Amino acid sequence: MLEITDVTKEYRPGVRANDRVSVRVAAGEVVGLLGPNGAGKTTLVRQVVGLTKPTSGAITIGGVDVVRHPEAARVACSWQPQMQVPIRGLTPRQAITLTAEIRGASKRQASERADELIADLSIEEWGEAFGWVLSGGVARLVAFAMAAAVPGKVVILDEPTNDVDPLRRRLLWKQVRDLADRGAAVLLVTHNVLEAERAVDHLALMDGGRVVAAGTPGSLKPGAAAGFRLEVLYEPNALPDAARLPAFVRDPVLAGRRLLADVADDDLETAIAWARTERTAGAVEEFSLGPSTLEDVYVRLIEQEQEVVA
Amino acid sequence: MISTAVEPMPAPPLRAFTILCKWRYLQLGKELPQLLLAQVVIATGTGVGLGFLVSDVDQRAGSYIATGAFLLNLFIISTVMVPSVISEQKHTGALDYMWSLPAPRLAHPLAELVVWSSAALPGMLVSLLVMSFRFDLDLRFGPLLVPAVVLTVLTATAVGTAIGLRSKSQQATNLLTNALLMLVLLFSPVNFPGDRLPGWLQAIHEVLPIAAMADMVRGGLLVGYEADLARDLVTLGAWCAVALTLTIRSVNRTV
Repeated sequence: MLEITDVTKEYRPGVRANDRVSVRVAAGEVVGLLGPNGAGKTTLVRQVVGLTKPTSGAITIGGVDVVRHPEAARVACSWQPQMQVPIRGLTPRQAITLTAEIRGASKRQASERADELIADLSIEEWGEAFGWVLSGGVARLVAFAMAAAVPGKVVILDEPTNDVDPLRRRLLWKQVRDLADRGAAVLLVTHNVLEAERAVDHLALMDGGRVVAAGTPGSLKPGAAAGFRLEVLYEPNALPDAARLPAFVRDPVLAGRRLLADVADDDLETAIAWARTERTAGAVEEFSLGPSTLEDVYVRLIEQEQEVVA
Repeated sequence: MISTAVEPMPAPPLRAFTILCKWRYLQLGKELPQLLLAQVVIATGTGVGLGFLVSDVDQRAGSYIATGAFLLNLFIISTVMVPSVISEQKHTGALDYMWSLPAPRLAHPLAELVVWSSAALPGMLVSLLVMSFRFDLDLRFGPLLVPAVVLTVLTATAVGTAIGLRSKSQQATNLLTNALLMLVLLFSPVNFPGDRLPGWLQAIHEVLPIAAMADMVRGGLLVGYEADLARDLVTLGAWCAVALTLTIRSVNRTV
């Protein structure tokens, strides 16, 4: 549905905000666009919705060239931007209804859809409140509902869960899945790696304007960091010497009293035994071992990428 | 339930435009009474205040002041209010969001024009009424007023929108548009006859649209005033067409 091919964007000659970026999102699929601040995610999104023009490369939606036809992008995409949407003075119900109507719903359809989204996101309490009294999290949910009111073929959500409380985040993820299940191609921009892991079908990891890794969440993990993640909290008087850690401790990072490291599959038992001994000896307050998360992969890939650049 | 995400059919342009107007009316709802009151004060004050500038205002001078104030109020909406709002929306990112909705981009400045004009209209009518008593004028709403107002606000809004979109900040926009308003107020044959201006400035006004706007407005409002309609329509029509074309290009420009 959405095909971004070799898109390069230079705001100034030689400075690439996007560097030959290619991302595809099929209908019915949620694709996560991950990356640190300044990675070029929002620049990419602005080109998809027709607000900025690529320096080179192609963007098509359902085969239509939206770089040449930004008006087609406005019809095809519904967008929740990263910034707050202009709803000062409107109630959430009015904001959702008006957006739905502009996107083609009749008055009755728009009103029913607003009721549905307000209930599904559990924001009934603020349905008739004016925009300026909404908390950041509720305003985000309203902006999401505006994008979901009459979804385009492509739905672009830029940090939809920022400031949203944990319970409503779950409701929001359910709605995101729902959009895809109903046929939309969903592009989800986020830094929230752990949540993205559960919500997306595919991921593209961006850094320095480029896509540095892409695949399913599962496929990205083993290649970059097989095994387990060890976390140890040392007693204040027993901080370890980084040079004298056991051999199975890989890529250790010491931050204050906390040690973070990778442990290979084969070393798992050795690691548990070592940690128990240390705890019994009074050097370690607590420890945990668990499977590597996408966040570990993310941090590692971004660090590698930045070392290469340096 | 809206079930299809596959073939969205947005509202047709005219309906999208009316929805945008409604959006802005609802947003300004609570401020509207204050705005209306402020506009009455501004519109009436401009006319009455200008009367103090001239000693012994006779009926002819009064007619210039009354119709000039009317035109100035159209300018305040089109070249000061609308650009200021557009510029604010541009620099806060609100305009990006609005421009991502499936409506023609020009619909947004035009919706601002409609909303702010309707807020200003009662004030302008009160002002005309007050001045017709103050200067003992015979005023009317002649049919010429329709093209006069439409061409004036479209041209002025087009110019104002371009300024609002191109300037670097809302403050810069306000400064530029207020400077423009000063030029219209003091250096154009709006509140006084053109023959008071130096020859070279009169020559410039042969080309600029302001004299044509003022002439058409007088033709629409003053009983017995004959506007040079053919010349006015050619000058103002050309300016309106050029300004709208450039502004449509400007709003549709993506970089």
